[in-house]
Amino acid sequence: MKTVGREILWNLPPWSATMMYALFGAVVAVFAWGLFQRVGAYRRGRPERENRLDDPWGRTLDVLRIGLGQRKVLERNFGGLMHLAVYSAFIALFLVTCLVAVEFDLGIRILDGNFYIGFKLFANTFGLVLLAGVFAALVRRILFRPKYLTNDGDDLLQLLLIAAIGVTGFLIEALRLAATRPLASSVSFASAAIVPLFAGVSMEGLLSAHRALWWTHLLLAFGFLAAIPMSKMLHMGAGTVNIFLRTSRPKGALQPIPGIEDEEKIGVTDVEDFSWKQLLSSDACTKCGRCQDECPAHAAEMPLSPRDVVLKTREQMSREIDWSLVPSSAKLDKKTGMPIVTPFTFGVLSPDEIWSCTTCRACMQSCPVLIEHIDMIVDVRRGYVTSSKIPDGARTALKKMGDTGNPWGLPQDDRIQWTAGLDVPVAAEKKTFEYLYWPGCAGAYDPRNQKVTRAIVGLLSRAGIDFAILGLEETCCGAFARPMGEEGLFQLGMVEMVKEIFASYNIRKVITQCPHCFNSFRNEYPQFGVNVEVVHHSVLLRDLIAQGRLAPSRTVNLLVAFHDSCYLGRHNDIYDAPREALGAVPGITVNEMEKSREQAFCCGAGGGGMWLELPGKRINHLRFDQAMHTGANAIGSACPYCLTMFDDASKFNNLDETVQTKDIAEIIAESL
Amino acid sequence: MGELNLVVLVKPVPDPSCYDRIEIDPATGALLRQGMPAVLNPADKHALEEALVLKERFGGRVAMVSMAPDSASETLMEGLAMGADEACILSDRAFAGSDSLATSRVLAAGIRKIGPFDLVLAGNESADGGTAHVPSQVGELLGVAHLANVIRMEVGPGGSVTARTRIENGYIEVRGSLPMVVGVRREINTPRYTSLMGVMAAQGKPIRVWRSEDLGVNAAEAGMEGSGMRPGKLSRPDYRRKGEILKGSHEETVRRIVAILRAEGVLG
Amino acid sequence: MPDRKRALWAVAEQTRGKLASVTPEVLGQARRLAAEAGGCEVAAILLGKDVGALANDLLACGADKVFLVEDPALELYQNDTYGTVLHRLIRREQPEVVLFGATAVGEELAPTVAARLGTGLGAHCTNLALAPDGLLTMGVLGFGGRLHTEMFCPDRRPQMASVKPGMFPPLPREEGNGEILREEASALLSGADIRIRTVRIVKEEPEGMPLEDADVIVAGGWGIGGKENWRLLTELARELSGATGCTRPALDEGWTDGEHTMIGTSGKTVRPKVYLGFGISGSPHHTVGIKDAGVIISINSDPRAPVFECSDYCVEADFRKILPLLLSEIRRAKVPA
Repeated sequence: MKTVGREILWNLPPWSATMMYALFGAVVAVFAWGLFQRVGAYRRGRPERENRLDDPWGRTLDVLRIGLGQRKVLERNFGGLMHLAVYSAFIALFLVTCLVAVEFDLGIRILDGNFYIGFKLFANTFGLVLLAGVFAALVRRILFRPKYLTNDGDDLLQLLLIAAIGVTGFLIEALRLAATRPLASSVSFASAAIVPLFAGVSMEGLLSAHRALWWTHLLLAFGFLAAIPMSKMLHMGAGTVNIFLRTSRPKGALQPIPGIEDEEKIGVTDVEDFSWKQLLSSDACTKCGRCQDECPAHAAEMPLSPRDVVLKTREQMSREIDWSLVPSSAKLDKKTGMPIVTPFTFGVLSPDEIWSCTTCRACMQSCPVLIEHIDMIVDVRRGYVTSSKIPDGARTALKKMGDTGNPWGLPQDDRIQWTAGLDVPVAAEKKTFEYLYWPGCAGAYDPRNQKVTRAIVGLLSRAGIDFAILGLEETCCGAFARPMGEEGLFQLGMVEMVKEIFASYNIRKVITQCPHCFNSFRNEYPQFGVNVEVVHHSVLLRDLIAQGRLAPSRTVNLLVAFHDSCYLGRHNDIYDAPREALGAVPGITVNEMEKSREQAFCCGAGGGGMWLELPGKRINHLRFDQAMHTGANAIGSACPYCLTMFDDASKFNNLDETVQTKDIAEIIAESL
Repeated sequence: MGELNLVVLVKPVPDPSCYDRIEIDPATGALLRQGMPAVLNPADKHALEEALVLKERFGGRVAMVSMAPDSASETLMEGLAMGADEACILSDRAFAGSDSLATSRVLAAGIRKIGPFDLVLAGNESADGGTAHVPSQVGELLGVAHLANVIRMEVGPGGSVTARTRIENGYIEVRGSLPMVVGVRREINTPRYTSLMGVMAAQGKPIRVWRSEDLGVNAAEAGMEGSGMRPGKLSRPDYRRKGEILKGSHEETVRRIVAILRAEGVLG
Repeated sequence: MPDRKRALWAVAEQTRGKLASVTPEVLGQARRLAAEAGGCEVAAILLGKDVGALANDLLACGADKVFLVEDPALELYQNDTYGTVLHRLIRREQPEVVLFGATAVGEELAPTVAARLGTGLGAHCTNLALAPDGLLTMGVLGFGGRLHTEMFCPDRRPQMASVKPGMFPPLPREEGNGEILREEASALLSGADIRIRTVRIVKEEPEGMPLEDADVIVAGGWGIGGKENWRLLTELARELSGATGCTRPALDEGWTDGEHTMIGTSGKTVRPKVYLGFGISGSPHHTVGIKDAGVIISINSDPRAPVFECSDYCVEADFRKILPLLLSEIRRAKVPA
């Protein structure tokens, strides 16, 4: 006999244990069947193109930090704490159950004495934590539901189920306490607190209520467990696995298609064209909605929610043509006699949705389970490109990139127009130089950005940098062609051309002013054996100022709202350099926007947004308003496309004469 | 409706974005086309797109036919990349100097040589010459129904055709049936994008070259001899004007403009 | 007495009893050519159903003679019926020259008839001259208006040409006392192979003043950048009682009122007293359409824009700055002192 322990299966008929085991067997069977179904769904996908099992220790560490450690979940205060409550209680109560199982099933007596007291305190505490978390979640979902949360499917059901399991757990214990008045019952403090509720209930009433609730509790818990593979709770497993299978690519690099020449099918048109890992990642999604909440396209009321892309993928992969399920009323194709199934990328997903993405990476930055939204979206775009059905803006821009080597379709001869009146060293003449300066298409062709290019050249000369430009030999690096889904043109066209020209001058170091070129050279070109040290002008200018090679001295009185370009910030983690460079200019005050650095809001140009006309508001107008909200009289950026977007927005608002839109290089040049 | 045999008439033309650089050889008075890359005539891509959509719907084959020099095969690759199944180049020195009717004779012979056809599509006009005659004249020479300026077209079961043709401030709705020759305008559709991989995949598609003897076209039917029209002097129209730059502040500029409007008597 | 052998024919175009505006232009030019060549007969051909009243209009516009073919089958334009009638009439009467208006209908009908006759056809002529020996010089523009070519049809007859609308002014109306010849339509139509039937002709009369009639045209190009700004152009045009025109790129962007406002090679040729161009780079495809404008004023922020070369006045500025100021200045100027 235990001293302070309790009898397991107290008050229950002797066949209860057998019954429980039988039910548990059924739970395991249903669970296994469900899991089997899910794995079957993932197996519909194509093989993965990258090694997702290398560096097992690093991956395990990520699972511990991001999965177990909830690192990304906790980036948001309320939702994070709430989830932490439910999640930690879940683990704690799972341990509690395990201890009970150890004692009962293995016959090892552990729940006794002080350990039992601690056990009870622990269980009661986490029971309360669980209920608090679930309660908070329910209140939020029902009363204060943020736009990015939905209450469909099993969203509320799961919460109610968990709540019911918790509540019945406490009630059972309270009934047992009321009926048996054991020693040290007060350590079950939460249950003990509700014992007075049963005052006046007869012993028989207590015992039968206990038995009924015990079975209810058991059935709820078993039902919950069995349904995991079919419910959103699958995220516990799929999320963990997805974190383990995270990519080893740098943030800014899209997944390449090795051997693209021989690839039968490029991109996604059917759900099977996603890799099994991408399909699995859709099961990792918990519909937390953070990606949608951070998505600039969604904020601009464009038809995109990254979450929905993931969820639609999940739905589609779970959908199979099971003839027994096709209703007789379903429309059949007259020609083939098959049911008309909504095409995946032209029906379930819509082209407008997929093209709304600016590949700004806000979704991936916020995803607690490391879903790779951009790769999924770009894979669908690759499918659109393969099927030749792409929107006008994308078609024109891609065609011009391919035909003329720049997205505007301007003649190659005009690429050096910006050098007029300047003495800019050209690689073909200079032969050897330390840095290649790469103005990029926007810097070379766009009249507004030509001014930035000229400012940068002035700064480089002044600082005594040994550099040259490629001039007429420069071409499009493909940094936009790739996220627009034209992988063939990128891999076989642009990369090959740039590779050749880099090799011919033995180029080792490259200065770019365009974060897109920068990202491409830094993160994507190495995938194809092009390895150069690439430095963005914001970093170089910061360093040159720090080294005293540039000394901004003239006061420039501006209140600058500094905008982080997505491809400099989130894709490459460069946040401080441009701020420090700006900060070195006397008279400059940097006003931070509410959404800045990791949380910065896109300008709308990325991923081809520059050339696309899509339904909704304009992202650059929203971002411009955010900048104006800081009270700034200038918007600073370090990206030619951002600059263009803000230029347009300021003109749209008729503020182009009161609000300056500047590249940081121009401000520094002004101060010298 | 069975599968469709579709023919698209295409023409390689000097890139329309280069027409500013047109020069006339002062010695010979001939047109200098150097430095003007050849591209697929823009309107023809719309014709090809329409053919490809029909092929997607009904099945069948899309053949491109072009009266062009042998070197045109490079330009025609773009059409093959878009999805045409084959290209036939009708190339012969004897075809040089053909006017629209002689060109249409050669094209009609090429179409006949391919075999029975259901529908011939062409861009309504070429960007360089721009006569807009070829679709109608090919139709006449083939002895089938033809339409120009088509902006919408529907092929129904059994080969019935309903179409809209653009007229000034409106359209004409017509009904007919295949076989037919149609000249399409740009508003009919948006041609698809051809990815680089699509271009590479098109490398293996057949490009045939047929000479006048293959087509059974004799010298009197084509080229200069077979043409009613003869070109005379070429010249570059001069649209230049004085180009006075209005300087000063925006307000001053605007006052100048208003003064000009008043002087021209158009200020109400 | 006009030489019957050397007749100049103008094919009239009508829809629902209304003459196309190009028809008086073609007749006027035929009249001028007849005079140039030392006098030949000018005849108009009119096809339709119950269109007899228009025959007198054609006489007033310069025709010596009108061949009138009326039949219910000719109520709506059909290539097969119209082509057959014209082909048979031309074969019978053997005119020296046959002119069409280069409208959409003319663009289809002229090559059809030329193919049946096996003769040459000049397309969208912007210049026409007739030598005393009867040889017609046809000036045509190619390469988006950048190349002018003189074409001849020396050996085959008739010499056929389609005439670009807006190129030749009509003659002042003069009540003529010419001849109206009613043709036996059934004979001309008998056995015609009718392969395409016209179901209906829909005219979508555009709102606002047609470009052809406007004294002032406010035109915009790709530089306008969007629908919001386009509205400013429309407003300015309204303020000046003029019309709004556009370039191909602006039309393709969908900012404009429609294809009927496009100026240039594939659009209209206009001749306003004043043309104001905003955000237009000046590709030849567009500028060829405004070459006959009285005064051309161009506003563009790019000083290198080719449009400046063919403008009388150039403003190097952002149109967004100029337009609102211009609007208010014009409103002020219009207030009677």
